[in-house]
Amino acid sequence: MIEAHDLRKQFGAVKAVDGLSFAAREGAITTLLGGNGSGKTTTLRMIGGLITPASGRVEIDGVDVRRHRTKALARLGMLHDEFGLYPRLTVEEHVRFAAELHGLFGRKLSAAVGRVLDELDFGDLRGRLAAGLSHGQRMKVALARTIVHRPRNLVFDEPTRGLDVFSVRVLRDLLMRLRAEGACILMSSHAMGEVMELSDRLVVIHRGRVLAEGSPMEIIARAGAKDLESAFVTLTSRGEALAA
Amino acid sequence: MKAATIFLKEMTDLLRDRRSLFSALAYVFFGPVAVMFAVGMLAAQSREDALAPVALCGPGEAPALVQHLTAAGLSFDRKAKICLNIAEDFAARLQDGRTVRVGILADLATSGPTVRRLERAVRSFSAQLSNQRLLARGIAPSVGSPVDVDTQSTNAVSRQADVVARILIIFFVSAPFFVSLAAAADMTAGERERRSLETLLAHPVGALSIVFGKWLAAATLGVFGTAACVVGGLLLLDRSALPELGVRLETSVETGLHVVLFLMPLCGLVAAVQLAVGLWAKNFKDAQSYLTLLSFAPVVAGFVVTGERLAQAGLYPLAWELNALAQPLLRSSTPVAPFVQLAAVEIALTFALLLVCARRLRSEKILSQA
Repeated sequence: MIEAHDLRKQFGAVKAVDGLSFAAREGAITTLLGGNGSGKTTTLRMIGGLITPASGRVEIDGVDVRRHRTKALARLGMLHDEFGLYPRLTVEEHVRFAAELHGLFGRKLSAAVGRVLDELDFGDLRGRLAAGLSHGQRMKVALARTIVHRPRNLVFDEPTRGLDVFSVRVLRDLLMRLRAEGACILMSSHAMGEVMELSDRLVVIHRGRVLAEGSPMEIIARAGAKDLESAFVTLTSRGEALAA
Repeated sequence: MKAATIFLKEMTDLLRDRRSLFSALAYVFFGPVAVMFAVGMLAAQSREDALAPVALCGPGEAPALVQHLTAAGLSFDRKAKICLNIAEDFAARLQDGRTVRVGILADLATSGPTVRRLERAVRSFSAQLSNQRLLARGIAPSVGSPVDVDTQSTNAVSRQADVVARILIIFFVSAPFFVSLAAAADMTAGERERRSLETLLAHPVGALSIVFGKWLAAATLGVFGTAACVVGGLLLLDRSALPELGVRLETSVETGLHVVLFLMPLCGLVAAVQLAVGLWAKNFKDAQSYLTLLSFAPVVAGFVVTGERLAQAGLYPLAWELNALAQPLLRSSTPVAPFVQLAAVEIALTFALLLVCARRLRSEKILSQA
C-alpha cells in the first residue's frame, strides 16, 4: 500500500505539490490524473525517494520513505518516464543488475531474472545491447527491471507515453496480471482511454492539489459529465475557479 | 555487497565503452611513444650541439694558441664553418708584450656551443700568457687575479638531463589523470545525462555504496592504466637515447613496481576528484572539459614546484610524487616523507571526497539539473 500524507513541495515560487494526500491500495490500479505541470511526476518522485517533501510523508507498506529509505524502496518497483537504460548493457544484464541492487543473489537471482525475461517474452533479445533496441523493447527492459524482485508496490510514471499499440498491449496485460496477483499499482497518466480502461481508482490532481478521488464512474458522475475527458475538464475548470 | 554490484556493472560498461577505452589507451600507448620521440629529438639536438671543427683563417700563425685550443678539446679543419681569424702580426705583438686581437666568425644560431667553448679556451690562453708575463717581471700571478672563482656542480647530471628527467616524472605522474578521465565523466555526468542516474537512485542502495562502486571502477582503470603506462614507458625508454642526454634511467622490473606502488594512492585520489568534478558538472561535455583542464595539474605542478620548493614537498599530493619518483627512476638520494604517511594522507582525502560525492548524490539538485 502506498500512502501520501499532506505532501508539499515548492520549487522557487512555484508550488508543485500543495497538501496532497491519497492512498493506493493492494490489488488495485490507482491513477494520478492531471495535466502537464499538475504535480504528478513530483509526487511520484517523492514516493520513489528521489525528492524530499518540504513537509508531509510517504509510506510504503507503512514504512516511511524519508526515515527508512532503503527499507521502503525495497518494497517498491518504479518505472520512470525516461527508461534510463545503459546503452552498453544487454537486456539480461539490466535485469540482473536491478535484481542484485534489490538484494537477490545466487539461485534466487538466476530464477528471478529467468522468470521475468520469460514472462515478458524476450526470446533472443536477452543478449542484445540496449543501444540497439526499439522504444517499445526499451520499455519492456525497463519494465522487467522494475518487477524482477516481485515488489508488492509499483509506480509507473506515464508508462504508455510514446509506445506503439503492441507495446501498450504488453504493458496493459502485465498491469492487469500484477493487479490480479494483489500488487498495489500507482501510475500517472493523462491518456483518458487508458486511464478509463485500467484504473480502479483515480486521483485527479491540479496545481498540486487533489480535486477529486474515486472510481472513474464516480468521478464522471460527480462532475455531471458524459465521459472521463469531459469530467476532467469540468473538474479542472472548477479547480481554476476556486483558485481564482 | 551492493557497491560490488555497482563496481561490476561499471567495469562491464567501461570495457564496452570505446570512447573511455580509447581515451585511456591513447595515453598508455601513445604517451610513451611520444616521450621516446621527444627524447630522440633532444638527443639529435644534443648531437648537433657537439663541438664542431674550427678553421684557422687569416694570414697569421699561432702554433701555441692552436696547441692550447686542441688541448681544450677543439679540433681544426680548413673547411669548417667557424673561422678563427689570426692577424698577421699575432706572433710579433705577443713577443712585444702587447695585446693581440683574434676574431671569431661564425653562425651563432647554429654553432653557439662551439663558439662559447672557443671563447673560453682563448680567454684561458690569454690568462696563461698574462701569468707568464707577470712572472717574467717578478710579480706573482696571484697579484693579477686577487679573486678566483671555483664553480663545482653538486649534480652529476647536466641541466638538460635534469629537465629530461623531470619531464619523464611528470609524464608518469600525469598517467592517472588521463587514463580514467573519460570513464569518470561517463559514470557521473554521462549517467545523469542519460537519465539512468534517476533510475539507479530509486533502488534500495545507499549513496555511499553507489559512489564507492563507481570510484572503485575508475580507480581500477587508473591503476591498471598507469601500470601499463609505466611498464610501456620504461620498456621503450630503455631503448631510447636517454644516455646520450646524460640521463641514467633505471628501467628494471623492481623500478617499475616501485613507481606503480608510489602512484597507487594518487590513482585513488585522482579518481575521487574526477568523480566529484563529474557530479558537479552540468553535463558530460562540461565534465570532460573540466577534467581535461585538471589533467594538466601535474604539468603545472612539475614546473612550479621545483628546487627548494620540491625539496619541501612534504606530504602534499602531486608534489610528493614529483619528488619521490626520482628515487626509483634516477636513483636520486633526495629525502622525501615516508610513503606510508603520504598514502595515509591521500586515502583520507579520497574518503573525504567520496563522502562529499555521496552527499551530492543525496541532493535532489543532482536530478533537477539533468
